[in-house]
Amino acid sequence: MLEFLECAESQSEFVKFLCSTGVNNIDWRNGIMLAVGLVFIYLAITRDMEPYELLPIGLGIIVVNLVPFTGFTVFNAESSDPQQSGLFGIVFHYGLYLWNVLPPLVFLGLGAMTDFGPLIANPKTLLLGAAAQVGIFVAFWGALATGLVPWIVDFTLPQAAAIGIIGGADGPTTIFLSAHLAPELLGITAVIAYSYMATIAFIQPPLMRLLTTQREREIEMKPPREVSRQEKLIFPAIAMIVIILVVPRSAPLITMFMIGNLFRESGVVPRLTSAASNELLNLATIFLMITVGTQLSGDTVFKVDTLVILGLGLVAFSCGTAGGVLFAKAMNLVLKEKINPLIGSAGVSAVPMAARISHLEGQRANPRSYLLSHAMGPNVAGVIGSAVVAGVFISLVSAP
Amino acid sequence: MDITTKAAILTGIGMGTAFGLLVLLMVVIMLVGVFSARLLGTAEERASAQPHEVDAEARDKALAAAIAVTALLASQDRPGISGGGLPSSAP
Repeated sequence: MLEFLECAESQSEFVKFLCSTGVNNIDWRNGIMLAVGLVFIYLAITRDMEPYELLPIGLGIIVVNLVPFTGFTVFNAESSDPQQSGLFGIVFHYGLYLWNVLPPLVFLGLGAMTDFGPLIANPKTLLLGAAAQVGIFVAFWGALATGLVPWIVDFTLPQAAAIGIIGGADGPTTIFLSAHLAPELLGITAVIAYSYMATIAFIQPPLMRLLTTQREREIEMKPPREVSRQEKLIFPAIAMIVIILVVPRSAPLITMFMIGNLFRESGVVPRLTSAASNELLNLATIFLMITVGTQLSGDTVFKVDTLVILGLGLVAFSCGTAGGVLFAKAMNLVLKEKINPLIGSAGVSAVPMAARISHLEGQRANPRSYLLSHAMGPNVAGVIGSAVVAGVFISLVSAP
Repeated sequence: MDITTKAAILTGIGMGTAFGLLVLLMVVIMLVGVFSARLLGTAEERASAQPHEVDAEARDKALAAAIAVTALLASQDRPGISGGGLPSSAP
């Protein structure tokens, strides 16, 4: 704290007022986090990098660090007195920690915006979505390996799972799992996941070029077949049933995703589809992202854990990208009709940025190549895959 | 059970479930595609086997529309019949 004043009960009312101001209570860690918040806002506004996530997160960081004692982020469950809890304290407690409803609501909106057509047209690409989830487990093991140097940092199994899921490159899934298994890491894991998703255009291309040959990058894929309305209606319904029967703990995410998609594909509830993909999604995003930002106060962030998670997140993203690309190359050993391995990197769920990057890299190698629609298949499969893995983690890992 | 063993089991189950489920969904998609193609193919066959019925229905509809328009035009040409006091250019 700056603590320009010496504050005590015996002081005058005016001095007590000055003692309660933010200027007297802010410290260097809050100052650095304010700068981080401003950087996020700058990236969102001027560079258009994941603006729907980074702008509210940046504003949340500023809110919680500008004046540490506003009570904005406090939640007081024990007190029945009024005015004891702040807005974002309540949103965090009920929206994430206790009921965990905000990520499923976001998934409802995402499902209403998703087109399963490319996936249905080329179902082999589902395997690329599965392969890309290897990044989750590499980061998971990396987090557990920190136990070898316990005097620096030592993550528990639930914390390692919450760190690993960053590799799924899916913000709502990361938040959902962290809220379940390691709520104390929720702010860090979510911000790191979204930060890497925003910078995926810098992380993926060098890896993609390193792991593929020029000839492989030039592979042209035939336009995907036409997908009928029946297929688009039947797939989400059956997928929902099958996944929930196998991994019931993934139900909150998968159910809402598929319900949103069924609204869209039925074509008979345009108002529900519009509400899910606009008003509901936007409201949930506003509260979710600002709340995530408010978890990053100066006193929670400045630990060695944060740096370690930052490094593990990068490892997770990189391994997920590599896993998808390498699996696509392996598939080409047995496939008659080759797939361009660049679409394997889209198996990390950063929809649709990862698919766009695959397409751009493909065009760079071969201007006649059009990979966007093919890359959307593994991209969407990655969303399903990371939600399934999150369900497995929740089923098998319990918080201490 | 020590943490390493538990983590190994978790990894095996996690990757296995992700792959297994997505392979299963792949099979589901292929079956849905076959089923859908057969259903659509049957529907198309039925439609092409009954061209006369479809044509007759369309012809009847067109005839009914023509009669309705003719009757409307005829009634507008004879002001005493329309009644109601409404001007012909009422919004």
